[in-house]
Amino acid sequence: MNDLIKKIFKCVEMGKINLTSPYPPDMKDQDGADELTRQALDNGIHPSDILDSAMIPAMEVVGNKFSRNEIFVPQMLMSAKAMSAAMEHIKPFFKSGEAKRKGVFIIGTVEGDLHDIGKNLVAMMIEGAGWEVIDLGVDVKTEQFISTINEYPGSLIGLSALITTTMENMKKTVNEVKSKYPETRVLIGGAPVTDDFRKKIGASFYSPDPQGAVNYLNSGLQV
Amino acid sequence: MYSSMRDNDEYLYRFRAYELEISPEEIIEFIDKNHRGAGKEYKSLTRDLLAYIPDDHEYKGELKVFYKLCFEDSTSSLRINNIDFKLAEILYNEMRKSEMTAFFVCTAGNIFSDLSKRFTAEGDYLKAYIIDIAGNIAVTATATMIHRKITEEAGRIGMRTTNYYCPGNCGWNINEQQKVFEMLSGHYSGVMLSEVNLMYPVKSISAIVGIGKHVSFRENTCELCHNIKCPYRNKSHQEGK
Repeated sequence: MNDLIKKIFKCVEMGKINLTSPYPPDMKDQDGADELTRQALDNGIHPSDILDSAMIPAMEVVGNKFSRNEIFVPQMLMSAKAMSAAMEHIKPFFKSGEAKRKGVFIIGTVEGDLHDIGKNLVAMMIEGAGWEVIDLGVDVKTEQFISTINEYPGSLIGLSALITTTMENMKKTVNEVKSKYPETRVLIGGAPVTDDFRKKIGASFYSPDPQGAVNYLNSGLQV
Repeated sequence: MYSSMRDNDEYLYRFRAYELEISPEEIIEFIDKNHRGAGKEYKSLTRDLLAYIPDDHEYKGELKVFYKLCFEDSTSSLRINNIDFKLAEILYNEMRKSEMTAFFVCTAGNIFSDLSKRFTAEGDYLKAYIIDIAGNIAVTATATMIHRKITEEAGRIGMRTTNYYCPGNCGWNINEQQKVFEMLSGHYSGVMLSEVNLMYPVKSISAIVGIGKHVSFRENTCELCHNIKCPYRNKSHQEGK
């Protein structure tokens, strides 16, 4: 494996964003994902190779470590930020068609709920897995989800809720999305959400952690 | 300082950060406790973030005391001023020996959520996360301080207090939060409650406290509850909501 690819992998895995970032302390004063990705492109490495051999597998390692409680939210956020720094250099190649995304994932916290940390984590992990993420933010009305599905046909939906009362709005959104677009896969998550609730409201998938959602999307949606 | 508690007495509390002892160390300790040592890496960042909160920022709350309680064992409900609280059995048993109750609402204000939103918009999710935790710790410290004040006051008349219990915890339906607000009759310290029981500012807590000679305070309220799937298990009095 190319040395730059290995270094980008390590920066994303360890959350080393750029040269000036003090985290992690043992990588202080070293180039981060930002500089190394620029260098890799300048050295003629194909953007798809950077994505497929460094960024995506590194984020998968991060997601699995998080699922096993080996790292926690702050480290995951740093990795996601390092991934975003690298992604900024790759984005122009999506437009030109030299790099491809796996699909479009629309995510938002349901109507009435303003909590976004869990939703952001899932969005970042899914973006890091090679998907285009449309983040609608918090307090998202069903109509906003539906109009965004219109805009991105074939997209998948992720709904987040943190309190039990807004879970009811999740039910409403799932019902309306499914009635208009029966084929659309709807993933749900959030602290009070369970797989039993997922079955009850007819959503497609529930995961207690971000990597579960990534694995579901990457599985070809067989679950 | 008031010297006794009478029915319908209302109390207004205002605190500063130094009184609540909100420090970078406490936030780091919280992250460490929940994330096995991960907090220490971000000590200087946490210090920088807390500098965004002005020293004179107010943490406030309002509390009201009620004497006329009517317990209904068959339904685990408590009636006060014609309002029926459907307490879950666990909470009902904790409150059952109360001779009076206090309801309160308190808030750390919008500043933590506003900063968190700002950092999120800037793509700095770590800062957003840490300042969000700081907001949780701040509002929990505010609620703990109000609980301490009412416990001191109860002690002056030979009474003790239960823990403070929030709608949504210990099996108490979160929809009952509307009734908690009703009890406070407009004295909410600027906190607003949405139809889906989300408080604005988000970093706010509403709660009930039982007061009486024979009530007891528990170090760990999770020991009361058998809901092992509860998302707030072992965290309910540390994180706020």
